[in-house]
Amino acid sequence: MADNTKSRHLPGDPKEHHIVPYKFHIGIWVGLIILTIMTVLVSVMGISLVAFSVITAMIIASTKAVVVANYFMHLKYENKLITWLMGVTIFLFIVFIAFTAFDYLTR
Amino acid sequence: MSVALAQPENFYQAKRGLFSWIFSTDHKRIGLLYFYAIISFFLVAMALGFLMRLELIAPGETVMGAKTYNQVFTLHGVIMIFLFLIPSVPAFFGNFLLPLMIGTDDVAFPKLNLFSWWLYVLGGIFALLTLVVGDGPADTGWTFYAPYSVKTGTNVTLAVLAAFILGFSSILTGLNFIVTIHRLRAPKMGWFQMPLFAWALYATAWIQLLATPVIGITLLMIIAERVFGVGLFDPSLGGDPILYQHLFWIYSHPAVYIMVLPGMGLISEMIPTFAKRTIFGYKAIAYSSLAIAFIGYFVWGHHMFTSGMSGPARVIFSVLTFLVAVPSAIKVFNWVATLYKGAIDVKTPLLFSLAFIFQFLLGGLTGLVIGALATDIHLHDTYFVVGHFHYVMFGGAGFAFFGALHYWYGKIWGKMYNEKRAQIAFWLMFIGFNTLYFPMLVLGLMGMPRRYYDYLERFETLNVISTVGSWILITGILLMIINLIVSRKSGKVAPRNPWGGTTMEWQTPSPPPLHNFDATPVVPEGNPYDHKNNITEKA
Ligand code: HEM
Ligand SMILES: [Cu+2]
Repeated sequence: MADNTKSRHLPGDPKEHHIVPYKFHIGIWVGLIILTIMTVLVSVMGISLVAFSVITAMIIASTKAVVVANYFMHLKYENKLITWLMGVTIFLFIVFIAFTAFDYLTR
Repeated sequence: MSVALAQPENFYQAKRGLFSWIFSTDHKRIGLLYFYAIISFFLVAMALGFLMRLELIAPGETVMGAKTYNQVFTLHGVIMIFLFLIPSVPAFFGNFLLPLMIGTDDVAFPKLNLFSWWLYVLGGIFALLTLVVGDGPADTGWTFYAPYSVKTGTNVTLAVLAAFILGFSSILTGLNFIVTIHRLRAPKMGWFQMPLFAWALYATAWIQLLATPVIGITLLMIIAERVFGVGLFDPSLGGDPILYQHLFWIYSHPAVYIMVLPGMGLISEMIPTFAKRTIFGYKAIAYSSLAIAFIGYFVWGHHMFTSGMSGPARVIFSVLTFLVAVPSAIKVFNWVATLYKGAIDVKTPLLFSLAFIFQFLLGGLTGLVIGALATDIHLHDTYFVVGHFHYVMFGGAGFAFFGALHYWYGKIWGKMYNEKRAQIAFWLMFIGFNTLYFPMLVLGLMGMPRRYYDYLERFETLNVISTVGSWILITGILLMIINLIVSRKSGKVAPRNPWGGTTMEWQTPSPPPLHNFDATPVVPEGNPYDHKNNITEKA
């Protein structure tokens, strides 16, 4: 109803208009490139890591995902509620996979 | 309109014509659109239930054969779950009442709200299309278990698509309520001044938002397997049927709380009003809603005890299942404590609430019987399970829905229902319900399996009793509906606050004006159920 939304403050409207300089975004991007290079290096040269190579790759990938979500997808500047949504979703996803995997691994 | 000068125009009068309804973005109208659609589907599914009970009145074939029977119970389940119980309380009462209860003029996303209704209608049409297209309705049960659902010739794809679309409708409702509760509460209303129904909707909304996508993907996987032969669940294609059960119940256990939590919220509204007392343990009830929503994600394996899941996994799921009973029990204790030494006013909504407590208790306790691994090995897939879930879903959620229909009848339609007829209908429903479902618990203990059109002779007596119960129940339901229809014409005009309720929806005229309140509503101080705060006199 267009006529009764005057007093609304909806999540769509950014509370504070956050202006991020280009330089900052480029910095983030360079950081992501460096992390990508690290992933490659670890897989090619990190033979000594053996069992840890998967874990290392996962840690690097998760770091990248967090950076992308926070800065490129603006999670850092959004309402807390959206961060909660994201967090709870990831947590439950882990629960679903973990319990199901537990069944398969103990069968 | 000269006589109505004192009364502001209500939301029915504000706009007229079909389009003013089906394209309305007013939460009250959308709630009512949902209501009429939901109650129609309920009656269809009730008729199917009647036919099933008729088939089971005697061993052997009476009114239908095996395949038809399988199709009938599938359609009955799909409609009751996806088209009645899941949307019933949130999409109708939630839509209509939430903004009124928290003192605002609409939900956060009115257009999304309308869109969700259209999705609901589309999903409903798909479900009904299975009746007339191709080989008829699916015969898999509402659970669509693979690999049978991948192989059967019946209309599984269409039915699954219907459930998929309905899931989206449910997600949108949940999203809308979360944002509404966070952002649109009346400026002075703190979280712990919200009515408990709003708390229940809030907890439910998170389940709708986060669990429903899982069933969406699972149903798409069924279609992928049926249509493109992708080997996911069918062992002959290299898939794993137990994986399907995991995915299905990851959603569907939390979904049983989508069905019952909002109903519990309705009970928490009605009990303090008719006990004329502040609710006992407000915070405990509010937090237990969140606890149920949360713990509900960790117990899905209790549906799979006999599926071939690993031993350790079964033990863990069984232990976790017992945890979920704790917050449910907290609510029951608090309702009973609220009634204790209250000035009890026995009206139809209270009768339904008391029936809820009794029936939900039986449902919850039988839940523990089958939640225990050892007993469930015997009881799984027997009539005991059918008895259990009807006690929680119909005896609980369904009775809460019908009780609330009487409680807010005046607020919604502006007239009061006929009390005497309503009470007769209630007693018919209560007696009918228990005559219909209690024998099922006994039959299950005796070993009668579910989902067959036929049974051994030694089960006959209890089956006849059960079928007679279905006739009593249906008579009660029809009488209730007739009473509600007739009262719209002949009922007394409803005052703002016919029951002496304390929450904010009672401050506005019945029915409310287009923008919900004729004066800025007053947020009650402190506990929303404090009868000292009662602003509007009981008329
Ligand atoms: C105290 C809480 C509850 C417990 C411990 C519980 C436990 C269980 C268990 C263990 C089963 C599986 C039995 C079997 O298939 O062998 C079951 C089935 C079922 N429960 Fe519950 N339950 C509870 C509450 C509820 C509620 C609140 C609802 C719905 C509003 C519900 C709806 C269902 C349904 C629909 C099924 C059968 C699904 C099917 O196989 O078609 N339950 N319950
Ligand atoms: Cu369950």
